[in-house]
Amino acid sequence: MATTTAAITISSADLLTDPLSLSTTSTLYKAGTSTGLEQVKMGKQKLATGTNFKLLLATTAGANSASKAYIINKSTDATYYITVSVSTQVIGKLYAGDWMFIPWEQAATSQDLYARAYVGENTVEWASFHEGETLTS
Amino acid sequence: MALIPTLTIKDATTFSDEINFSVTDSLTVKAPSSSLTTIIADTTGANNIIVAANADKQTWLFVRHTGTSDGTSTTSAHCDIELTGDVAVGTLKSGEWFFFPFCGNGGSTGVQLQAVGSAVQLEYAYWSDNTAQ
Repeated sequence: MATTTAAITISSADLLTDPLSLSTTSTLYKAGTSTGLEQVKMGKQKLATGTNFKLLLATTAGANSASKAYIINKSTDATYYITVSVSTQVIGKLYAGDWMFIPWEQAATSQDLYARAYVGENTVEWASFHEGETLTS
Repeated sequence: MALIPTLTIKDATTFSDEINFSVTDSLTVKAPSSSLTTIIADTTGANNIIVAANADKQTWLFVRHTGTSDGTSTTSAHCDIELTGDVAVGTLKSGEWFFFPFCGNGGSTGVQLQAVGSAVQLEYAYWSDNTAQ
């Protein structure tokens, strides 16, 4: 049985008067079920500046399905960053060392996840935990 | 002031080899921020704006679906996370969470929650860093 878990801990010793520590874990299920996701893709890319690259492709099968996207900017220069977009809309920025984990919504096949590098060539690693992908002949 | 987010993904059963990795980061943050709080999101996103559109900062946003509609009653309804203007970013189902580096797009957009079908109670918090966007 597939059981993939994603856990997050967020802590700070100096943000507030009292230390901050929150944590939670979720099991990655197929949409509307308690059956675990069984399909994974992952990769690593070097992104040159000047182009908005498709990192993860939305699919017809992905609509109304579960899909979790993880992206990390592995650049080491603190000034380097990438923008992350859904279709043409920039949704966020990842600076060197930053990561994100989102339940990606592929409401339409135009909802691809894009990444674009700024300042210099950025290295990113990514993974998608999902369902619905089928082989084609 | 440093915020330390850590992600750990594990899977020991799906494949022949185990997935087990952990990443951490150290974020320099300052005001504005919002400590962990709850919101009951209804089905109109504009009613549930959790990060204002004028917050033109790099903003780290954590949102979690509590699995309830009001803190007590279980719900299977999910909740979309959107930029203001109804641009969908992701969708949270019961028990799921989301951690995301929202940027203000020049101060023109915020973040809102839109429950699908019926109300959902969520927890959220955000922290901004000193990088103007």
